[in-house]
Amino acid sequence: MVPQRLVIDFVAPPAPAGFGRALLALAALAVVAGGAQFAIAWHAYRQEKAELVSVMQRGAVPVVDSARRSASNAAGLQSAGTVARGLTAPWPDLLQSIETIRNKDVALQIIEPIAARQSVRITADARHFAAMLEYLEQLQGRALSDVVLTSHQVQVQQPGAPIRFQVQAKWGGGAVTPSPAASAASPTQASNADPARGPR
Amino acid sequence: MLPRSIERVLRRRTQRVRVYFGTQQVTVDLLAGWRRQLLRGVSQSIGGAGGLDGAIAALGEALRALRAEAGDLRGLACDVVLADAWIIYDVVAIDLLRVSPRAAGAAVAATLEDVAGVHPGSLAVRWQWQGDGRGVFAMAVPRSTLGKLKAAFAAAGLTLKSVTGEFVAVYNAQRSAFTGHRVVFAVGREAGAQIAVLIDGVIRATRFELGGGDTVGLSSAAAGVMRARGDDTTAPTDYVLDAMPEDGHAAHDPRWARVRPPSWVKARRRAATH
Repeated sequence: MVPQRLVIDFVAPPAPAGFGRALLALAALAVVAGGAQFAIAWHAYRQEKAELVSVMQRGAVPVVDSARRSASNAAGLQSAGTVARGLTAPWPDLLQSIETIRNKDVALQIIEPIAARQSVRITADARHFAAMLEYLEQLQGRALSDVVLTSHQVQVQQPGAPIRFQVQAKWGGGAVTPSPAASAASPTQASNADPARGPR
Repeated sequence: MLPRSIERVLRRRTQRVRVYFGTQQVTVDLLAGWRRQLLRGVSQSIGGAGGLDGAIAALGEALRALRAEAGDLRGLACDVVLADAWIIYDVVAIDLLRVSPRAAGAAVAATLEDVAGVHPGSLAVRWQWQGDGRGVFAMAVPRSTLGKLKAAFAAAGLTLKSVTGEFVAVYNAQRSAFTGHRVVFAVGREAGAQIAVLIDGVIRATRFELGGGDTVGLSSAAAGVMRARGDDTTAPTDYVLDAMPEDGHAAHDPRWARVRPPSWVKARRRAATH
């Protein structure tokens, strides 16, 4: 360990301590770094502003060179797209449409919307096969297209041995019928749906 | 050719005067540039009577001689190194956490005045906390001495930038060599040797040993300092000495490692006496 420097003098004021000097150097470095960051940000701001003005003058969306788009921008855009799709999906109408199906032998368990694929996965329990098939027909006729029974299983250990089944269907492409009233008003939408494929 | 005023400004920026205020001679050097290159140097012996007045007179002679050789010195910055014989050093145990700086300053001044046996307020005292925060290293010089020195430099038109003790200047220059757990460091000059004992890089004790002395005498004095502290004098210790080489007849202790003395110790050409 090297001894500390003696900074005692009969006329000179005491020199700042080593810590103070280091702090001063760090502060100076921070000021320089901050200035550089500001200059870069200001340059980018001016560039973006000029680009925006030019786009507004042309009245068109600029063609962004894909090479210039950074990976982070691409990821950001993808994430924003996902969020936008989620926000624009007609969830209230879709849920209302599914829940208004009247079938006393089927109990709806889970509804899993998949916004990215514009589809929905429905899990329900049916008292018997006929009720399950009837429910599929109701779904197809009511609100959804491409209604597919993806799995079914008899729950032998549960009282009444219900059939747990999963259905996947698409709600995009104008297939969604917001409400029974709307469904009745536009029967062509319901007729576009594919028939159920039945249990595998 | 540059106007004289610009030359003067440039000279003030690039040159400075260094004074070694010894007990047997005074050396005045004119240095240039950030590397402090020696341009001219003059040494003046202190007259037979010696003492402060003799030293001040020798300083005046040396400054006059340098001015005669190097031209007008007015306005140049001046650094002064006082030989340790002019100064009192001490290590005072004060806890940094329990005593305010103002109270510590008063205690340090009182301690040094007590050691020197002088009236309160008659010493100019400077001190700093040691690295462990449990004590201070202090140096003091009589205010009268400092006043006379300032007056001499003011008369020569020099601007005093620094006045410090030789031990402090040499210690700062050599401290990178004090890496051992226990180090005895001594600065030996004609009047005597300033001895300090360092433990883990902190000065624990100091003493001025009168007389030139050889390394055996210094070892004995250092052992006395350690014994006064209650230290084991046989424990492994690094001995570092800054002193002019001994003549062949002096008793020699091989434990001492010598470091090169600072350039101001070496006498320059003698100034002509008027």
